[in-house]
Amino acid sequence: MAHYAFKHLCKDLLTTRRTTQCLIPCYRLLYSSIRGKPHDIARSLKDRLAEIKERKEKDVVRNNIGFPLQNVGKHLDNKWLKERQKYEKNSRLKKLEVNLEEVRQSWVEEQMPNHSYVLAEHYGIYKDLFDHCFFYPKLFMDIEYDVDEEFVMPLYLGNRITPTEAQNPPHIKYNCDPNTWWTLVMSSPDGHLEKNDAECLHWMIGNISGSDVSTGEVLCDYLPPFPPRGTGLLRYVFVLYEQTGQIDYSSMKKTANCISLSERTFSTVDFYGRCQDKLTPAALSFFQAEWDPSVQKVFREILDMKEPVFEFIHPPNYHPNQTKYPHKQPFNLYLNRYRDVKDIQEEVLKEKLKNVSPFQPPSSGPEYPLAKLYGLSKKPSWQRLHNKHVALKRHQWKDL
Amino acid sequence: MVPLRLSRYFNPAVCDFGVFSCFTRQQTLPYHLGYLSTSASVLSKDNKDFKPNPVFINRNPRCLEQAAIAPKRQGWTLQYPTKNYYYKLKFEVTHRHTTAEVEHNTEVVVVSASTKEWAVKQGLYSTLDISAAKNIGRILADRCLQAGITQVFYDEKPEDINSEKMQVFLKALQDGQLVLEELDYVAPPFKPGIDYSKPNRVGEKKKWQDDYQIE
Repeated sequence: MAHYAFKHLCKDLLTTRRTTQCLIPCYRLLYSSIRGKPHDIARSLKDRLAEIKERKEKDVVRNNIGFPLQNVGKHLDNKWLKERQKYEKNSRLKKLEVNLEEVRQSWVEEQMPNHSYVLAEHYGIYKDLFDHCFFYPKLFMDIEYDVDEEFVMPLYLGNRITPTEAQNPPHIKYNCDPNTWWTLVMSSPDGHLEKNDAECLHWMIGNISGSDVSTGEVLCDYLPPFPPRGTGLLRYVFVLYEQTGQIDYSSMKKTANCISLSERTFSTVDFYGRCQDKLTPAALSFFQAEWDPSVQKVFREILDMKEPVFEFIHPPNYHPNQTKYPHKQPFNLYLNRYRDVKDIQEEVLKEKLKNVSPFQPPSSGPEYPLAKLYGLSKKPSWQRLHNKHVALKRHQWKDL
Repeated sequence: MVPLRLSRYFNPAVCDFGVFSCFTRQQTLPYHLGYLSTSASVLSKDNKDFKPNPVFINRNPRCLEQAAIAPKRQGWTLQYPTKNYYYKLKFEVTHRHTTAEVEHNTEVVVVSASTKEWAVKQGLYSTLDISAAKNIGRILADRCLQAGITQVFYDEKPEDINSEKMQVFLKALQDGQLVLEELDYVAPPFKPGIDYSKPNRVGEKKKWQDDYQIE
């Protein structure tokens, strides 16, 4: 409790900005080197982040390329006050449970455009696909992958689907006027193996009349997602465009059963830029997928190529310039910090070879590695620390 | 553009034998025996000249967070509320409405559910009672899973134990398969020394360059 109370105290101290005009000179003299600028002059982290964001988005043009957002707020309080009586008993008994499917259906009419805009922005869809131009989805596609005879895997706004479940093209449903024309594009902004800025086209159907996807002209056949091993979660985006009329897609049509990854290179910005007089983005949904064993199959059987395997590399650490007389730095750690990695590795290898014999089986090491160091406390502390690291195989001694 | 995720491409020649050897991990990974038999059925030679880029950049901004490699904001030790989270749960009961939100580290409200929405309100008797809190919890858990958020950070307060609304709300979230705990940040392993032959960051200004991870 005491800890909690102290947190509350600190909350006031840290969040409020008090005027310290009279204290400024004093601050500067005493603590300027340690503390930096005083409270109300220094920028907070929030200010700094806002500044970075502003600098990044200085030259970015953000246009609404979709349909205008309609005012969807409903003011039906009188209706609700009359109808709510039927829920009273269950509500007071704490048993009332709303039907999630019904909630979802009314959400699609009411809050869906706003909520899916926020999520698409959060997942960087507009940035990578449309070069910062955005749109509010007008309708919501019900996309479902058949997992087996019994189960389906629905697709929403960023949920995770395994590549095994996405082997076959999904079923797509949406409500629209039967006399309208639509184009469906499925692409992956992260999935291109050669160019990191390009997209990989997975599926493309043009000139869909009404909501029947099977009537459309298949411009590119379905290719299941293939996130390479070790690359984490990749995004796969479905965008549905509304056409003003039929469009001649003959120049964009890929060969039947197209497998070539270089032919499947795609750019949504280019595609949309070419047809923007006739196309308007109307619906959006996407999922994330990670490597699983079915990806091997895709690489070997469908794409017919060797499967690449990746690993994450951490960025290097920052080190300030080395000084001759460092202030308050332990000399052993400070000098180790600026040594060349190759020297350290050589030292470790020499240490390792001392204990390795070609005529003896490799030993697994002592059961209690610190036991042999017990009682040697007369050595200086830096040497004791060094011995401890070696005994426990820490840091550079890991491979000992 | 800052590269979000960069990786090394391991020699694919090893794949011919169906074994993936990892440079740092020093272990062999399981492989599919079916590979040798399928390699005979060659469908096309379209990708014969296609060479994957040795440096793969995953542009998904949420990728590192879900693997817990992205560093969390640290804040101060005694700072309240704490800042070390990716997604945070917020629950608020005002004079008229019950609202629950999931907020990202960057102070963006990613997922929300409120009795202000007609979709939620139409099935309720009251916007403030315990069943409202419970249903808000169910709906929020549903929306989070649909948005790919499976884990959120819940900053527990002492007064929450005595609040039945809060308890019912949390129970509904857990029943909806939302985990109220986040993975800990996985820090890179520490090794002293600097590799002067590769890109390093010694004695420069703390400014990020794009090619740090590329070898």
